[in-house]
Amino acid sequence: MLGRIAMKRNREAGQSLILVAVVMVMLIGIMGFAVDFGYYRFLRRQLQTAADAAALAGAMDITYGDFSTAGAAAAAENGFTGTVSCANQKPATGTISICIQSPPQNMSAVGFSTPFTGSGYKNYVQAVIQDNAAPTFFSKIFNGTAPSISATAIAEGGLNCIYGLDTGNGALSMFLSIVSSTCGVVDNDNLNLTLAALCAPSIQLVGSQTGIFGLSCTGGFNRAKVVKIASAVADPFCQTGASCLPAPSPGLLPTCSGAKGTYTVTNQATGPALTAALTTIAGYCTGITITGSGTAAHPVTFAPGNYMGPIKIVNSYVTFTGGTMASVFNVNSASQPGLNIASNNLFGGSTVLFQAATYTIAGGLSDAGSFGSYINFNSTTGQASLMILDGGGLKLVGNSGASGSAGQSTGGITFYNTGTAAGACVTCYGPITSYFNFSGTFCGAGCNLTAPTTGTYAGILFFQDRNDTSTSTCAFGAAASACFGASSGISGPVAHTGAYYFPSGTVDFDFNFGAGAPYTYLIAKDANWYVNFQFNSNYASLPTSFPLRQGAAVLVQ
Amino acid sequence: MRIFAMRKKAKITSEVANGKLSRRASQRGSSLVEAALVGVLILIPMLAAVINFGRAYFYSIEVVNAADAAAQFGAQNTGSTMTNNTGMITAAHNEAPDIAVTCSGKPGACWSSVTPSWGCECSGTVGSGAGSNTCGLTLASCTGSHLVNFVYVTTVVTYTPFFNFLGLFPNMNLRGQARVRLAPQ
Repeated sequence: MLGRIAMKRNREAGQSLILVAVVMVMLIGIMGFAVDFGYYRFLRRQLQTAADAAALAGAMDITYGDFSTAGAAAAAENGFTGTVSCANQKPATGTISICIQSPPQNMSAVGFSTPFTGSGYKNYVQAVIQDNAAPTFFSKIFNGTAPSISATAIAEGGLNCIYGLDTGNGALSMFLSIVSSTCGVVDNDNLNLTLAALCAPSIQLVGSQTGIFGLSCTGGFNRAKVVKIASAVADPFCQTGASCLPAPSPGLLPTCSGAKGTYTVTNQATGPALTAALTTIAGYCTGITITGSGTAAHPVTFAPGNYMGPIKIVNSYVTFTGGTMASVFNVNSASQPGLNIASNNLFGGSTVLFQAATYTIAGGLSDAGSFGSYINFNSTTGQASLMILDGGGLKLVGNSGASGSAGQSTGGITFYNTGTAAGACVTCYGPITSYFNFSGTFCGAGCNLTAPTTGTYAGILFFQDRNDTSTSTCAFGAAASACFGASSGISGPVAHTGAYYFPSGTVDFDFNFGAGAPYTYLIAKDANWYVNFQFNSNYASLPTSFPLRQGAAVLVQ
Repeated sequence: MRIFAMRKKAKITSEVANGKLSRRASQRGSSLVEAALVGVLILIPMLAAVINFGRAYFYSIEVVNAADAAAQFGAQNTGSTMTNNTGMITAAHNEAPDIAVTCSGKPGACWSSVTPSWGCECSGTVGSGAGSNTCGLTLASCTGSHLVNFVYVTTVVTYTPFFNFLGLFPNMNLRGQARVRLAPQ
């Protein structure tokens, strides 16, 4: 009996050891889980820091096209390197994957969804870092594997689209107008709002806001709080640390020796094919005049080459064929534009098509006839075109009484307004004037000018020579340097899609070319608004590397 | 129940018969002693360790967040915030409300340092370490990429655990760092 009791006692003594052992295993497991879990939470924060930095760095570089490299570099600077990949799956155990993409996408593998998907968010950059290489400390004892930890961030780049670069002349001014923008505003001096409103998501100002009292924002736009910045912002197309947007080189002036006067094409139903030999070799040295000739099917054609100007087109169908550089020059008259599209016929002006090419027009281009003409500055779909206005500027005036006027640009056009600073010369600086002075629906789709979507000047519609420092202010409809004048009354769609880039000039907005345009941005020394204007920022049509050298970025998600 | 009764009965019998009261009493309390020993030597230190670790992670997360917040503050713009060390330090402190600004030696966490710096680098390259508070690079330095500024913030917090068993859990420095880029203007 005693022995049995003793045996029982011994078994009882072992019970607590077993109990302790079991409890210990459980406790160590729980403790291990707690410690490891704490570590993963800590790691998650580090990942978030790296993802934030990567998204910001990527968004800053969105305009340079190297956002993936920059984003991955920023992640590495914050301690995470790995395979740069955007496959929607978890990385293999022991590896880290870093995804830098634009536009952002829903990443179901990491349970991340975002409203910023699609081609409308090309200026957004998403960083997704997935770490499947986290160490396990205590739970390793129980063969526990670390979970895949991930962090995502989305930053928006290319935020500003209105720049007043002047540091001493009150860069941006608005009079009796509401300027609405879906993108930010930078003003390097004072902002003058006289009976006006500036409605933009961000307003950065070096100087102060002046003016009497303002209007209210409408149409869902809001007025941002003005943020004072300490120093002037550089030209985003010519930023510190980045190469400037290169200026195109005008073609060389041709020479002509001969005394045959002006070559004329008059009332020829089938338009002849003209070549440069006509004016530079054959000796018609005072230009070409085409009147009442050509049809839509058989226009007067200009082969690529250098022609002596001025060229005057009156009530005719003319096509400038693309290919190599075609130059139209005016070396004889300072009083006439190099290419003058005129009209004197009540039943319609001229139809002028430019196929995709780089054109240099010394003396400038004018469409200022009494009756409207139709010009397509780039009739070739899918190719970029460049028109260098070597002095004389551009004048597009739609007058009343005829159908259609001014420009269209199927494949995209960049106007480069250059020249020399000297006085009354053929190639001295001229203004760009897009001036509509008629009422009704005459404009139609023909008044839409669109910047190219490819090439060096993708997204640039007007680019004025950086040396053109004239800052004359234009009044309503008056022509001054870089002045856009228009009177009200147009009901047809009119849109300038692209950049107004006048780094040393003044832009006056007397007409709203922005409302119908997917995107418009303005970089000017000074700008004045006399009408309501809307800046949109849907860059979906542009390549990722569109050349708005805009550095600022902000986290959005 | 029957066993218990038998045990009780046997216990009394043997006590009376053999007079070995003390030995039996110690055997009876042995599981209590074991439990006490296990509790004191293992469970309580484990609990303390878990608390210490947990608090360390809690503060570590705040330290990392603080570094991120400070760098984000500095990266707002090149003109003013990038060089505003006071602003960045304040941003770090504000982000971590549980960390005391001055150290009192009590258990908890207190700020050791928040060190902001800035510099510049090429956008495509991976930089490391603190900035020199100046930019020695030029446009020509970056081929294939461009120049960007960066703000680099390191945060160090002194953490004093609640429980310090014979120096097993000494004070620790918890560190955070963040490096955020911004556009040069």
